[in-house]
Amino acid sequence: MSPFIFGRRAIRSLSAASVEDAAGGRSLWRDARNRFLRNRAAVASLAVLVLLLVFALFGDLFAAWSNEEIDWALLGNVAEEGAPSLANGHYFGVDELGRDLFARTVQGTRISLMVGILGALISMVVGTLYGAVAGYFGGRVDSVMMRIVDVMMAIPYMFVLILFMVVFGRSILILFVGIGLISWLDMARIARGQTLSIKKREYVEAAVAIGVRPARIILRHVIPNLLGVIVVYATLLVPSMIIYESFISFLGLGVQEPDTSWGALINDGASQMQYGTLWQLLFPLFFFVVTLFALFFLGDGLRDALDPKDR
Amino acid sequence: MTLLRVRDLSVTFETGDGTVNAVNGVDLAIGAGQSVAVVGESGSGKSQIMFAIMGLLARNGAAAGSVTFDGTELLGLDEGALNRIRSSQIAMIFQNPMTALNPYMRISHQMTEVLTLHKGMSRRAALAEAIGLLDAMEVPEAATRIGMYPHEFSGGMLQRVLIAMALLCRPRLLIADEPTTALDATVRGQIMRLLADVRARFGTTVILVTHDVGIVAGHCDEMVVLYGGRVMESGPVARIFAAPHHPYTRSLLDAVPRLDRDDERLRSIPGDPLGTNLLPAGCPFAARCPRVEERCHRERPASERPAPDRVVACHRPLEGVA
Amino acid sequence: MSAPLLSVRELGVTYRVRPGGSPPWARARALQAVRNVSFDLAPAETLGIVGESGSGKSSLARALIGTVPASRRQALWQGADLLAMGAEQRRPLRRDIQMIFQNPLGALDPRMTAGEIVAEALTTHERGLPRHEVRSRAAAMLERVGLLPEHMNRYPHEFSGGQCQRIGIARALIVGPRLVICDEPVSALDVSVQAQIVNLLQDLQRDLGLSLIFISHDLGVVKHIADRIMVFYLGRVLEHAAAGELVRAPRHPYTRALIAAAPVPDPAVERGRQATGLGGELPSPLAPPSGCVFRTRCPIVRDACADEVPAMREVGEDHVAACPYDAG
Repeated sequence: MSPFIFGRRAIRSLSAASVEDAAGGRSLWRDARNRFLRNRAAVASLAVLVLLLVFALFGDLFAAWSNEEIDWALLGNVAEEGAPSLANGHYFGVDELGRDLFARTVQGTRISLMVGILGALISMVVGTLYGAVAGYFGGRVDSVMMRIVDVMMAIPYMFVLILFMVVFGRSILILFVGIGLISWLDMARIARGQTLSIKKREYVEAAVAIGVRPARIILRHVIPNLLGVIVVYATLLVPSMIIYESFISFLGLGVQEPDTSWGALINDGASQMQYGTLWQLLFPLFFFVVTLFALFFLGDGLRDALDPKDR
Repeated sequence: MTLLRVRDLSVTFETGDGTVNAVNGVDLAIGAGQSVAVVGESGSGKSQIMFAIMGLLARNGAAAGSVTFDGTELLGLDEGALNRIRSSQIAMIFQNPMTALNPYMRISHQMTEVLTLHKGMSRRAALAEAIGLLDAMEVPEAATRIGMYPHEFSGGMLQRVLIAMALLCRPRLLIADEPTTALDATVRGQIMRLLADVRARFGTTVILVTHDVGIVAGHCDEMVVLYGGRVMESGPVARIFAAPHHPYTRSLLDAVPRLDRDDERLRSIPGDPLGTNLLPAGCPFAARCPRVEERCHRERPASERPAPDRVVACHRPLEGVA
Repeated sequence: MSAPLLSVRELGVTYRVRPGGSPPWARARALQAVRNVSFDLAPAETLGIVGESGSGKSSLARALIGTVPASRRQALWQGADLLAMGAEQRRPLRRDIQMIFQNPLGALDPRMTAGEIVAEALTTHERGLPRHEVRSRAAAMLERVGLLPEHMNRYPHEFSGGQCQRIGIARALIVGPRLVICDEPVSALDVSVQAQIVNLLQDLQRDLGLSLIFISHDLGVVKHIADRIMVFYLGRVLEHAAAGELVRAPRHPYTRALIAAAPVPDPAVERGRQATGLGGELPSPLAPPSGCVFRTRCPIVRDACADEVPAMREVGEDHVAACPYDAG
């Protein structure tokens, strides 16, 4: 996060806190943010992720080569001359076809992050609403809704995905559909479980007693109080979606050339390992591992910040 | 003989929002065999004093001052020595008996563990001892019920179990932290009578930490009234109830709704109990006190001894008219 | 007595529960939390309900505001049967019956400011009210219960317990209810603050002509605020009388025990009556004793007590007790 907020935190003392109190409310979110900012590993992870996002969005501007262009000068002897070099503009070297690996990594990062974030978003929106509705109404509604989730979970998704790809052909869209279908299931279960406990809180009962309608109770009272858990779980879901995509791509079923993703790049790199072009594996792998670590630390930091009781 | 002496005890907590002063310079002297009530509202620091004595403060808490138990300084004592004192000389029971026991272990296991580990007794002897104590605590059918799990007991019965557990090692001091607050009115009396009985039979000194002045009247000899982490007043229960010196004590006694009186309005104390992070320069009760004067906000009143057995910290104490 | 605002006849609340550890196919057992309760409540009257934990007093409150289903007979609200209504039919009536909860902080949504909490109640019943009016009316109500206008923007966790309870009272009163059900409104508060809240409720009741149902385990508080008191034990009413009379001349042995157990802050009185405590424990509501529910702990129990449920007996003017024996 920005250094500005860091500075403000540093000068925030007890007296400053009470002045703030008088001026306006200190919401739980703000408390959580302060706790989060105190967690160095989480803040550093956030910075890493922001840099990664910048890399994915604007990396192209720094690339000397485009991701599709083949450097014919290197094509024959990638192993000897294709290594990373500032001189010829291939910062990360080239792949086995002589394409610039830096540009390919930017492209792969874009797709992998998109998959991860999209999966997490779908699960946050669909899963949370679905789980909250099931948990809030309970009884038969709950039973039916959750059995649907159970059935969907029981379907071997990898098989379904492969089937989809065979029928509709390999495309990034099908990949997203596949991810969209499975990503929200766990979230729906988590949201439902939390809703069951929130439903018993007196403030929800108070809202019912006042006459607030169920839809508003779910949106205004249940979901905001679920968000802490949801956000944490979503940050853990991003890496699992990325891994999921990587796995599919690693099997050769994911994104299609000339598109690429971390999984596809790692797959290509791994298959070229015996020729001594280790950079083809290590650069995408580095990005992959760093992102996963950053997301895990971020999720950890968010959990501590949003759920201080557990520490 | 003084069993427990607390001198100038302060407890602070480091939190994200700064330092919280929970206890500020408390002095206590508790004689062997006495039954002393430590009375205060939420935020008065009453429980934190006990945690400091037991060395059980939360990780971000620190105690300063001195606590001597039978001549041994407890603050700063190493964990091993403290454990020896805690396991054999001082015991504590808590407000919620349900959370004080492991729900997955039988009562028999939890009770005998203490004896086999600390006293090296055989399992059989330990079990006999435990059953004997449950009997003494009037737990019906002790020999059968000891094999049950905590959730199979009612709250009142569980509190008896906990008192029995606390007595296993025959402690010289028993600290009861709000032992009846979670219990029903008709069971509350039973537990208080039991504590009185324990004191008579085992000679145990009892410290009763409570917010309820009502139960203090019938069951304790001495009382200490806390507010904002400071001692407002202390002395014999009968004399304080008859003629409190501190305006806070007076207000607290008046605020109890009484069955034996017909008041048009309850006598409340205006304002709210003190938040522990704002430590006023003067008397902590000044903001709510009916007898407040300018000096009270500025200057912290010193502890005075209007009579040999009484202490009061007030610039304008009430005179002792019964 | 004038026409009752609320008249409850033979109301019951039954929960289906599965004892812990039983297999999922085991049949649920019926827990009768409230059985056969009848009473009338006049406008501007306060009915006190006293009972220990598990006595069903909170279930009664929840049945009346409709958050748990009630069985048997009827609860007439100015002639309309609350229990026969569906949720949608019931919604406009919720305005008339409001509730104040036991846990001052727990009853407030931690993610909403005090102002939003109070405003939500208002906008639920008066849709399309202009924002500035919602704000000013919420502010006025918060001020009425003793909070400051600048408290509007604060969150529940920044208030003390007493202040939270004031917000809860403001939320209940802003819609202009006729009846407010107070479920243990002061039991989570410090003694000094308890008195403030009780006094506030009394003032509001007098000024607004409210009816109150005041539920507490503390007979001292109830006696102070209530006109009439019902004593609950294991889901049944054991005694019902005017507040002063009930405390002065209790007729049911349980009421006597409750009065004896109420601590008096006077050492001389306390020491003089130490022997009069009640023995035993509250039986499980899943398996209440046959006949009189109090018989397992009753000091004057007789053999006949186990046979049938004692009927409510007129023992004085507007004073009934469910005990055929006069403890004298």
